[in-house]
Formats: sequence, C-alpha cells, structure tokens
Amino acid sequence: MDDQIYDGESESSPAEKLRAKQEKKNLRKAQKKAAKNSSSSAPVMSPAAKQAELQEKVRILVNQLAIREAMQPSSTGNSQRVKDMSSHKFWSTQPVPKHGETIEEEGPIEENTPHDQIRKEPYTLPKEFEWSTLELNDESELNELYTLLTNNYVEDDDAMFRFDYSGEFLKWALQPPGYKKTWHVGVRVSATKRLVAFVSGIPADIRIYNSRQHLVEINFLCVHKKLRSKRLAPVLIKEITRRSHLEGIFQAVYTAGVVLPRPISKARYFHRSLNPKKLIDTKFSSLPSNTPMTRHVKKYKLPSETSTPGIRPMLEKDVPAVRVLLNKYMSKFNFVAVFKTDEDVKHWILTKENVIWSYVVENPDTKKVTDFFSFYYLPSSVIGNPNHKTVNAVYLFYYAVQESDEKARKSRLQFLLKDALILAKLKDVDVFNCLDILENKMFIDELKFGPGDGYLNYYMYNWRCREMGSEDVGVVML
Amino acid sequence: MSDTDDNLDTLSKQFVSAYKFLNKHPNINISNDVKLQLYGAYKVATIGACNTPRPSLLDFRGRAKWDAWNELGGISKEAAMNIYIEKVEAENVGWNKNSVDEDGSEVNDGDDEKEKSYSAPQDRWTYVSTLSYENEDDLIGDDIFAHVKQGEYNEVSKILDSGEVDINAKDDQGLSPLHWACDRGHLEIVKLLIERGANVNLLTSEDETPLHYACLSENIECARYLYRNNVDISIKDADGLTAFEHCGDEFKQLIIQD
Repeated sequence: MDDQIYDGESESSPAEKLRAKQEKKNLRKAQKKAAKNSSSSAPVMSPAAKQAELQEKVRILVNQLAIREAMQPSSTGNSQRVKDMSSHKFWSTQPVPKHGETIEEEGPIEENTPHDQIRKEPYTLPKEFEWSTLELNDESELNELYTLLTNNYVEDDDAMFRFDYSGEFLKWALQPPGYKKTWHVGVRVSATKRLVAFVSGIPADIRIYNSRQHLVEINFLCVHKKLRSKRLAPVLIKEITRRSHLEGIFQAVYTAGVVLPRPISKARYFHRSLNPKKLIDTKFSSLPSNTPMTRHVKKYKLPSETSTPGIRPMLEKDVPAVRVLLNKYMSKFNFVAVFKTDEDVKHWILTKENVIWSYVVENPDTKKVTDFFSFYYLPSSVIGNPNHKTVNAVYLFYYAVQESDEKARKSRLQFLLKDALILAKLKDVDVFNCLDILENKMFIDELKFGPGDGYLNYYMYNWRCREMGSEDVGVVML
Repeated sequence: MSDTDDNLDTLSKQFVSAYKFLNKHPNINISNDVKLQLYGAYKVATIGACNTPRPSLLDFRGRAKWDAWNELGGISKEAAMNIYIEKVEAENVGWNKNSVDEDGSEVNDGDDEKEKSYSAPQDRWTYVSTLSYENEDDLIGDDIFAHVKQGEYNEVSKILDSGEVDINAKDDQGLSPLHWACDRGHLEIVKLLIERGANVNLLTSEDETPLHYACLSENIECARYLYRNNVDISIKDADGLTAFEHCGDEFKQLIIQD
C-alpha cells in the first residue's frame, strides 16, 4: 500500500470520527422511525402502492440525513470512497440495502410483484432511441455487441487497457443453458439503428448463506461514451429488471468496481506475472528503479512441465464427476454458484479453446477424478503502445480439491495452481489473474501473485443479508 | 474580519481541501518527485521549517522526505500552502481550488456524470486491474550506478574521466556498472564501459555474467555487442545455466547471426 507520503499521518481526526459516529446513530434512529411508520400504515395495500410508499420513505430518509460520507462498515479497513448517498439518486429508489444499514434479518427487500401488475410495455427511452433485443446467433449482431463493448465497456478515455471480449467469449458468457434472448437488451439510435447501449441477464443458481435461489446475473452494462449524459444506464437497469420480473425472477446478482449501496463483499484482484518483461513494457506492472530486470525475470520463471501426477485436460466424460466435486467443495463458502445440472458444468467448465480451459487430476490407480481447475481467457488491448497490442490474460475460474485437512489442502492448491500457471504460460499467456475469493489466499503469496489496483464489489438486488469477507465468496462473474 | 484574515481563511480551506482530496484518492498516479514536493510543502504548512535531524544514509525514504522538507527553508506557512495548492492543481487529477465551496469542502452537486472527470480506479464501474505500483526503494542516489541505470551517458563518462571509481566495483546488490547497463539496455553505455576496460566476464554474487543480464532482460543489441567482444558464453550461473540456456534458441540465433 502506498505510504501516506502527502502528510505522514493517516488517522482521521477525532472530530471526524465523532461526526461519523453521530451520523451512524442518526441513520439508525431514522431507520427505526421509518420502520415504525410502515408498521402503523394501512394493513391492506397493493404492492405498487406499497412500493411507492417505500420509495417516498426512502426519499424522506435521504433528505433527513445530511450524510456527506457514509462510513463503510466493512471489516477490510480499506479507505475506499463511498459516494455521498444523496448522489445515488437512482439507487435510493431501488430495493437495495442502504450504506450503514444494520441487517438483522435476511430476505427480500420488496415483495414479488404479481404477474398482472408488472408493467407490460418497455420503459420509455429518450425519443431518439429504441429498444432492440439482440440475436447473438446472428454473426453481425454479435459483432455489433463486440464493437460496442470493445470501445466503450471500460469507460474512461485515459485507460491504458481495455477488455477485449471475443465473439466466442460473449456467446459463452451470455448463452448458458436456459438463457433468455429477451435478456440480451440493446438500445439503438432510431435513425441509424446503431447499437449504443447494452445490458445482459443470464439465469443462475446461487446459494447465499442458507438460501438457494434461482435468479438473474446482470452483466455487461455498457453505454456508448458519447451518450453518457443521456442517463441511459438507469433505464437499462429498470428494463432488465422488468424483463426479469416477467420471467418470475425478483432477485439479481451483479458486480462492479464502483461502490454502490451496498456491497455484500469486496474482493481484490491479484496478478501473477508470466511474461514480466512484457508486462513492464506495457506498464501493466512496474519495475522499481533499484531492481534489476534480470532478477525480476528470474523471480517469475516457471518449470516447463507440470508436476501433479495424473493431471490432464478435462474431457466430456469428466463432467458428472466434476459437478459433484465442485458442488461439494463449494459447500464451505457462504455465497456460491450452484451447478444444478451436468449441462451447466458442460457449458461453464468444459474447455472451449481460447475461451476457457479446464484440467482434471485423475488418480492413476483408482482412475477417479480428485481435483480440477479452470481459467478463462480474456485479453486486454493495450492503448497507444508501439510494441504491444495485447496483454494475454487468463482469470482463475472455478476449481475444487478433495483434501479435507486444511494444511493438506493448502499444499495441494499450491501444487495445482502452480501447474495452472505453467499450463497458462505454455499458451503464451502474459498474466494469470484471480480475486482473493474462494481459498485463493492459500496460494496467492506462495505463487508470487501481487496485489492489483482493482477491486470487485459483489451485490444482490432485492435481497438483504449480512456482509461477508471475500474468502466466503464462491461466485466468479465474468 | 480583515481582508488578510479572509484571504488566509480561503487559502487554508483550499489547502485542506487539496490535501483531503489526495488522501481520499490514494491511487492517483503522481510521480515520486511531486509526492516529495507535496510532502515538504505539507510539513512547512502544518509544522513550519524543518526541525528534525537528517535521517541516516540507509533510510532512503526518510532521507528523501526530510530533504524535500528542508529544501523549502524558512518560507512562510502561507507560501507553503500556496505551493501545495498549485502543485495539486497542476497535476490535473480532478481537483482545483475553485471546487472548494464556502464550507471548505469539495463541491458535490450530486451529478454522477461530473464525478467521472477523474479516474481513481475504484470509482469506475468496470476497469482492467493492473499490478499495484511497488515503490519500495524507488529513490536512487547519484553515483555511477544511478547514472548507468538512468542511461545518463555524459554523467557516466564524466565519472569515468575523473578516475575516482573502480569500473569493476559492485554495488550492494552485487552488480557491476556493466551488469546494470546490460540490464537496462543502454547500449551506448555498454560500449563506453567496455572501451574503458570493464571486465566483460565479471560475475555477480549469483555467478551471472553481463551476458546473462542482457539475455534475461531481453536486450538483444547489448547481448550482440557483448557476444562480439569475446565474452565467455560457457559460464554457468548459480542455477547451473549459461546465458543462452536462459534465453531460448530463437533469441540465441538472433544474437549469433551476422
């Protein structure tokens, strides 16, 4: 972490702490008051009226509290900025927990809307735009999406890197078993039919604490750079929510780098250099001025062959065994993906060249699959570098080990992930990335992963639950 | 309130706002030099002229920070605040003194679009995470090693002319100037050092030759030059590998071809 070189001290003043404490107290008071009010209101009420009332209450609450900065109650102690709640105009109207809210009971924030009360027609767009459901099996529409994301998904102009999602990758990410075409929501300019915004949903099964849910995973929210002032993002979110409601789904999972009300967990990215010189040349990483490049390169050298006996690429016949292994391993975490069918595993885990690679370990004696791991390929284009166009990156995806003893598991994971690094290196990958979720902290340091400047916040829509550390998270989103 | 008081009040509000802004956004990319200047100005603005003894030679960071503070001498607190404010503004990181309102806090009209004008990574919806900057030991001195690392040909040449250094001396990491020149790919300095009699087969503490350094750090021109100047290509390092065994056949062919 950066030394507090600006001033030499990092503590906030006692006065500031006191103020923050007072604000928290006020917030709790106001919440209690709001709860009291709602219990005394008319017992019979339509869900729509109830929602309107709730929204009004939220608005009053927000106005009552001049919270300049909600303190993040996370245990991570990171000084990540939490935006002034009043600036979250949109989120304050949505069924999400508020910053600083104490969670006592798990459950939905608003009730399911009965089908006949769900809005039938799409939300209104500014007049020059129209809705357009994308057909990703049509090569030209897939290309349009690819172009939109490539140029606009990473939003700032001075970024040095951009995600370079391939067409095959997008099909993998957006067309899992049971996918709904109506959840591939595009916005076009009416006059030119040009695609300028997109948001997607895919069906997913998760378990959060003890609650198993079939819900929608929201991803790839993207608005063309030139149209950021049109406030299309809130309409896109409302529209994908409406389309989820129409399918009888009222909860969602999503992730973002930005802190919104309110994260379930916050994970940090870690990066393991496989091609250290290129990463330095592209400024993906930096070389301290007193460190010889030669030592840096040597530090990240890997053997040219894997060392785990019985390791091999996963085959279709391994699907059932991998599913059992994975669901069993995931049972130890609090927020996980659930793989309900072999079809799910076949889609999500089985190798698709240049999209996802998966490997199993087969016990040479029993021929049983004992472990597996997978990583997906998502390169980044390098902006404005004369020598390099692309950083080839893979991201650790799902994995499972059988070992129940923690110490043995740690050493097993270190062995397996070292092989994963070697296999990635053989595919000419420059950097191997992961989050500090699952049991990744068991190998991050030992295998020379370094902390990234990126964080990923996990969110649920219309679900209230306690926060958790990243080591309790077992959901990997693309 | 008199005019002077009023001005001072505005100044300190701007100063506090700038300082808070930087601390709120620790990932803003500011060069070490500017960070040090900011540190010095902050110290004078809040404490006054430097009043502590200079840290020891080995405490690079502490010493650099102390120097930055001391350098400002006896300037007034107001002058120091002005320096701080101007430097933060000049960095163009999304803060300027006009964004300070009457209460001394940053103006925030609640419009998300405006907040995107700066790009601290954690405020973006999506971005590509990269490795955090490791700035340990990032301050270097002004001896021959420092000038070689930074590719300052004339400085290196001057030091060699003075005859006050042993061209084959090693630094605290066990590297000679020639190793560093090969490591950083400064071909002209490699030539200069060899012309002035640097030992081309000198070993580091890990038995690496300058050729090992040129090969491992993929500086092909340096490697070619060494190869044509009678280096011993059979020397193995502590890992038991020659320079060419480290770099692979393709690279080796590029070095040995005419």
